[in-house]
Amino acid sequence: MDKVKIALAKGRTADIAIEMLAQVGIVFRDYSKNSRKLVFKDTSGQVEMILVKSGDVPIYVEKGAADVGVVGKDVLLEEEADIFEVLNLKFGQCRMCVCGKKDYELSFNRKLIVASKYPNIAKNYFDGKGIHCEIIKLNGSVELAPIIGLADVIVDIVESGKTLKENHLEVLKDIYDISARLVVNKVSLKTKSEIIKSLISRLEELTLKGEFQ
Amino acid sequence: MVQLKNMLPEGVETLYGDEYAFKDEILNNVKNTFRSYGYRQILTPTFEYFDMYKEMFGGINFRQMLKFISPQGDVMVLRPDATIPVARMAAKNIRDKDEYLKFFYTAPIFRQLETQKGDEREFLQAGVEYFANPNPECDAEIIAIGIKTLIDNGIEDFRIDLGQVSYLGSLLEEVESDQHVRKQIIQLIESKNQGDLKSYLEQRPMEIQYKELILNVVTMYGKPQEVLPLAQKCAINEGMIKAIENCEEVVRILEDYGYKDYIIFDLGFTNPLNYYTGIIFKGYADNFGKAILQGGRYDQLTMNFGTYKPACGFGININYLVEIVSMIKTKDRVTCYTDYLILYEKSTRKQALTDAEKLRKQGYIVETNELTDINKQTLLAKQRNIHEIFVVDKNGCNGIEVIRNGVTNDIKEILNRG
Repeated sequence: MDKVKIALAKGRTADIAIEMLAQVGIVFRDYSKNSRKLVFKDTSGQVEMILVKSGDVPIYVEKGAADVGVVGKDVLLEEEADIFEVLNLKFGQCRMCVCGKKDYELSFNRKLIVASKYPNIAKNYFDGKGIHCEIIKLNGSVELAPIIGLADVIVDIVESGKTLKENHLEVLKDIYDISARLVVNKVSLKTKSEIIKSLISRLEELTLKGEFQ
Repeated sequence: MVQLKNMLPEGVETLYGDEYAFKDEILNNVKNTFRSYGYRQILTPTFEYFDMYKEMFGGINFRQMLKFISPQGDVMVLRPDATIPVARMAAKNIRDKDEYLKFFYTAPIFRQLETQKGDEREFLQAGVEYFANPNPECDAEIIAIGIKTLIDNGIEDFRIDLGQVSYLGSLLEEVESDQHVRKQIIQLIESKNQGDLKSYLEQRPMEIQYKELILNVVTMYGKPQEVLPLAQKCAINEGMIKAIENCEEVVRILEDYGYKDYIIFDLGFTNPLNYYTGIIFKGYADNFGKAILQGGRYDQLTMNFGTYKPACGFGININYLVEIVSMIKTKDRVTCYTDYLILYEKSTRKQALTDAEKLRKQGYIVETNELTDINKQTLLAKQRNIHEIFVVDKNGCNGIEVIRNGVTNDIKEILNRG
């Protein structure tokens, strides 16, 4: 029987994904949240799990270093990998938004300055709207940019909106709904179809129950 | 020494002796397979006018082409695709409009890809193109050559994934007129994103049975006996029915080749290069995450050059093939070697060089050099995989065995043997 390698985005995504996998019978005994290990085998010996940084999941799966992956839609939109995106796992839900100072009004007289951890998403969105913009890529604390005048608006993930509120910012526009996705290498789905198709259908049943949000 | 900021551009390859020989052997296998089906080798230029590619109705993303500007100011591209120039050659070199052409090529392909993803910007591709045959016989022959190419290189565990672009094409033509929406639907089908496709279609004013039909296409992949009957049932117009009949006929022919077990189907395949019009296929080797070969039918491409020659062909990525073969072939790999090294003194040089040439005529690989330090030279000979050294000095000729076991030879004896 073929072995399947599954790449999980380290952190909360991996924690929930591991719980979901356990419910469909794929159990990683040697995994614990505090472990520094990066490679794990399940009890059946058929599935191997690797933990990688979330932004790296698409490339592992595209290149076939992993057959299957679990990663947020935000990463998939940003990285645009050539992979199958077979299932919405429905957990890790949040929104990708354009945010700015309260009462911000878009000026059409000059180009828009946008700060984001997601330069491709931001660029594609404003290009699609025909708005001339310049993207500044930041690596964190993006909310700071409009406050201190580095950018007019930001494009970022909003979960509860608490951070925005505390920094006197608000959502100007929802762009995408984000949640965790099951992705599959384009060749593996065909060459290891039995085991991967069964994994997809078992996880799909589980998401329909709606226990993991 | 020159201090270079960057030693080599990203995505290119350097290969040394044994590795090159390994690749070359595989390439020769591929060429022999192609030749054995009557395909004849052709050459297309390494660079051409950007305009030729730009004018194509199909083609490659312009951003992915490696461009430069000629002294006359024309934008040139390094060969981004093999099929388009081959199609031009087929269209422009016609003696008779019914003449069929079977071409093969081996050529480096250049792509300007995203940086730091490990993608190759120059890779070797080999392929066959069969012109002026619109029938399933031609499709099946092309697919069969693809299969045979993998088998001839010792690959056993692989699959050929077939699709038919006119199935989905005919469906969308009937149910959705908006080009932008079609593109969006195609993109979601291409990534098998059924969930997002469903919510996207829910917002569209489209009849519910059409929505279900489009969603069904996402799941139309697997074994032919499972996929094709389902696809047949879902066909709602002439174009879709014809597409499935074409698939069934190709499968029947491949069965007669004895290759049916390699075939799987995916009717959710869309048309990455735009020029495909019918059957489209990819080849996958087990435990290798990228498609190793791809091809399909392109009936309209030659029309761009003024001649109608319906055609089918495929290209195989030789770099990937080498990676796969090196995973499965760990023993008996070709290595570079030299049969004899002849070392001489000044006084015996003429004799040594004459003997060396005689040995080469017999088919041996022979190196010559002046005798300096026999110990050092023996050590170097070992590193270079030289089988035997002859020292030709005033005492005559002595053989020193380097690599081979057993007795050493006499140079004269070998010459006399020949």
